[in-house]
Amino acid sequence: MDMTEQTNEILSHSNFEKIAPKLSDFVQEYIKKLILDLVTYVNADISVGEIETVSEYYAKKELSQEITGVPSAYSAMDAAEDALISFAADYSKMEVNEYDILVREALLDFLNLHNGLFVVQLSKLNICELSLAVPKQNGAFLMTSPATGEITVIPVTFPYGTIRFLLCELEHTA
Amino acid sequence: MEVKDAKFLICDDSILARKSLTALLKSFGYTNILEVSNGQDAVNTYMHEHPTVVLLDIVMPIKDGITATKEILEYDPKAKIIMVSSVGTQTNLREAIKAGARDFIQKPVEESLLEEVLEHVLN
Repeated sequence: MDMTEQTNEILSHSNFEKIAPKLSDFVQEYIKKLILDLVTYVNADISVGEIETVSEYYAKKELSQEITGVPSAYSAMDAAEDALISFAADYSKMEVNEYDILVREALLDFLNLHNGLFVVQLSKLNICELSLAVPKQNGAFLMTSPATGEITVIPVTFPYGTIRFLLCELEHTA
Repeated sequence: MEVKDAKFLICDDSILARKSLTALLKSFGYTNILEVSNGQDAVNTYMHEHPTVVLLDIVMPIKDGITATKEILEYDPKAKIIMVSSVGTQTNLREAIKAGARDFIQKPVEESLLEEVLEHVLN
């Protein structure tokens, strides 16, 4: 089974097909690419939980990156500290034991890699030309949805815990 | 392993990316490697250190890689700059080449591709 088939298999066990009609094409493609990148660069032993849309989301740590252009979007990730540390170790193949600068760097590096590969995919398909802002790390934050839509929460379960990936479209395609 | 004498300047805001590029260059036999984390530091370091090759990310704080490329080439039109970025969109590829970069490597960096590009740029 190649990685794309594996991605489809993982998504087929989630509510992706059911919720997809409520999501924009942009968000659907983002989710498919996210799972493919997680399988390729982090860990193939994952499952996707109940994908949902919410109007606000509170996270204890802000690990985020804005996708700029039209459409533009805000992407972020959130989880318990232990899960974030394990994810960082899994992705970077470094030994890390506490939530320090290396862990934060690894988390933002993954976000930047995945978002970069996503916008490259859209560019190659001549769908749109987007760019990225510098990834950010801050303290607790409350993410609220803009008038254009809701926040999509994508929970992905790894052997060491669940990481929630967030995507919120800020501006739709003209 | 043969130790090669080219001097490299790696500019990336990600510590992980810098570590990984440094490890790859060392595995090729290069030992003279400088690291900075934003475009402004890349321009300043280039002027003081005159590296043989610059490996430059695009999305960075303070000064992005395309602007840094233009400024380095304004100072030294013969500068050898390779963009290394996760955002290899058609727009960025065009902008990088227009700014004067010699090549563009999409992240994650494939060892064989980096080796091939370096061989081409250094010769």
